Formats: sequence, structure tokens, C-alpha cells
Amino acid sequence: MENKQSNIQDVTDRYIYEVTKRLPLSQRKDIEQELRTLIEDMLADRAETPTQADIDAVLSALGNPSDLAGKYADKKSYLIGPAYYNTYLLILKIVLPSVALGITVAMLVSLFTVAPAGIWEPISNYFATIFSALFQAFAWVTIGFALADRYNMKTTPDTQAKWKPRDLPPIPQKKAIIPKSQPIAGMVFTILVIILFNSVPHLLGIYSVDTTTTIIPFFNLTVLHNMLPLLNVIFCLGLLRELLKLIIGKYNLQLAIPDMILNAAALALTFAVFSNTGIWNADLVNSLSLLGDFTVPSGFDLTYYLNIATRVILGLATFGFVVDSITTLAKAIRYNK
Amino acid sequence: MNQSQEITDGLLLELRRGTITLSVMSQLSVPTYGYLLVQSLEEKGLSVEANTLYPLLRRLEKQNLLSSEWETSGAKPRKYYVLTLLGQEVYQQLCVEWKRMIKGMDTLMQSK
Repeated sequence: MENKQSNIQDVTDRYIYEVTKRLPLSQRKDIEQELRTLIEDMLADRAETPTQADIDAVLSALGNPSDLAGKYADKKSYLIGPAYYNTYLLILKIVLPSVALGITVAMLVSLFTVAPAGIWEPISNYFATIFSALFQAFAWVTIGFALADRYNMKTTPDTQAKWKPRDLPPIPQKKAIIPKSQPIAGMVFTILVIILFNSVPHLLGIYSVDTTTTIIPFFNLTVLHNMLPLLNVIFCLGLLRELLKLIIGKYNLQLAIPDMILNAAALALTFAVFSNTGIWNADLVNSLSLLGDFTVPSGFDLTYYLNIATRVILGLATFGFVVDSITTLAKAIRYNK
Repeated sequence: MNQSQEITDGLLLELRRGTITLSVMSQLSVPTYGYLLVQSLEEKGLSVEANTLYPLLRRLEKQNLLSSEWETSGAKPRKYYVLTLLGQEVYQQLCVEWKRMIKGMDTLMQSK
């Protein structure tokens, strides 16, 4: 008899331990006592001298300890609930691209302070850094919202103003919607340009293929290197512009105005960069003639032609930025009566 | 017909879940302990499993609808629950609404 009793006691103890260990400390003692009495009652109900089979049946009826603990716990079985989920997604959509952008800019700046050994090292470095940075940002935002949900803090968008039908924004016309592919392509292209100018500017030049391939760069590499911070800012403004187009997604004034400002800033900086005619490779013509591809006609004034080149580039840049600004603004006005 | 039985069982479960709190509250005008409640509900045809009832009683207490007291004088210590004043108020209101719902249901089921 004693063995059977201690066996039953043992199983009961184990069960109660399994349930209560999953519960908050403050509730444990109370629930433990409650369950003990309940199990005793259920056993007594079944038989005067309960057997192993009886205790098994009783505990089976009570169910899996983790399920029972779950029922005692406050019902939340999600990380971020419906009240916060949409805001969470929105914040992610803003934070992750911003982080990617920030890391990109940071990497670029650091690239020009330490000359890279080749193209692959900085590129793989970049991807590794951006990958881990994005993961961290994701983790922090998620944790932040999980905590907010747990401690039930009110986030402004969801709970403040009650939604009214008048608040509904008008449906953007089909033509007013910017297909996502456009800004994404723009961003990818800009990032490639950034990498090009920062890591391998010497690839931009005149190619001469003979027994060996020689490249005569268009730019004076030292001056270009010094100009890099400015150039990178210009590129980042371009990135930012495309990012805005991506997030806002349709042509409206909210997009058109920042778009114009960014374009104006980028244009001003482009002028600043190219006002320094030293950016061009002054040895361009000489190097070419040395290669034997070319004989310099007498009286050839390289500076004259470089000035023309500068004006052409500045003209193209102005044209590009102005056209973008005007079309964005025009579409914003037209599709937002 | 297995499928219809499954669906029916599922919907019935949902239906019963909705009525458990009311049925429990109806028995707590006098202090009662958990297991006794399980048995009496069973006798009256509304069986509630112990592993559902006990957490429910705890939750209702947290909402101030019930108050509890440990009775240590007997052979085993027992936790007795009873409706608070707030609990009684809420219960009365629920009963009124319940009767209204029953009437409405009856009408719905009779009409085409």
C-alpha cells in the first residue's frame, strides 16, 4: 500500500511541478495548493483507494501540464498583436531602408579614407556590414514593439483619433501611381554609380586594347578622390529622392516638393564639383599620343575642349534635374485635383 | 456525414464557450469550491472541465467579479469562491440580456 501511495504522490508532485514552473512566482503557491486539492478530490471521486490507473486517468483528464499552464496564464499567445502590428510594419518599412542608406553612406565615406586593396574586398565588406546592420535594426524594432504590446502602451496612430470616412484619401489615378520598379531601379543604379566612383574611378576612361589593356582615365584621380565626399552627397541625395518615390508611391505635392528640393541641392553640388576644372585628367591628350593612337595637332588646346566637356555635363545635369522636378510637379498637380 | 459532425462539433464548442462564464456565475451566489462546482454543473447538464473552470475562476476573480477565501479548517484546504457585489450586478444584467437573446433566437428559428 505504501509504495502505491508514494507512487501516486510522486506522480502528482511531478505534475504540479510541471504546471507551476511555467507560471509567475506570485501565483505559484496558490495554484499549487488548488491543484493538489483538486487532484485529491478527483481521485476520491473515482475510488476509495486510488490506484496507479486512477491517478493516470485523473492527470490525463487535467491535460498536458503546459496546456494547463497556458490556460492559467494571461491569454496572449502572440508577439505583436493586431493593435500594434500595422504600425510595426510601417516603422520597419521606414527604418530598414534608412539603415541601409545610412550604412551605405558610412561605408562610402570610410572607403575614401582607407584606400581599398581591390574591388572585391570593399564590396563583400559592404554586403556583410549591411546584412548585419539590417538584422540588428529589425531585431530592435521587433523587440520594441513586442515590449510595447506587452506593457500595453498606446501608440499614436492606432488609438488617438477615431477613424472617420471623411479621412479616406482619394484613390490615386492609375497614372498617378509610381510603379515600384522605377525607384528601385533608380536606387540600384545610383548605388552602382557610388561604388564605381568610390572604388574604381580609374575604370572611367578611354580604353586602349593592345597587347595589354590600358585605360586612360577621364578624371584626375587625386582631385576626384578629394572631391569624393561632395560627390557622395550628390549621389545620396539621388538615393533619397528615389526612396521618397518608393515610399510615397504616387505623384502628389508631398512628393513633388521634397523632390524639387533634393534636385536643386544635387544640382548646386554638381556645379560645385565641376567648377574645379582640375577634376579632369590634364594628361589625357598626352597619354593618348604616347600610346601612338593619336597625334596631337599643333595648337590643340585641351583646356578649351575640357571646358566644353564641363559645360556639357553641367548642362545635362541641369536638364536632368529640372525635367525630373517639373514632371513630378506637373503630375502631382494634374492627378490631385 | 463525418464532415458535418465535425463542423457541428466545432460550432457547438464555440457556442458552449460563450455560455460558460454565465453558467459558472449562476452557481456562485453562495460560496463554492472548484470541484464541487464541476460536479454540480455536470449534474445540471452543463459540464465544464476542471482544467477550464479553475483558470476561469481565477480570471473572474481578477476582474473583481468573484472573491476567494481559503478554508483551512477541513481535512483539505479548499479555496471558496463567491460573487462580489459587482459580480452580482453584472450577473443580473447578463441574465436580462440572456433572456432577451433567447427570445430573439426563438423568433429567428421559427421564422423563415
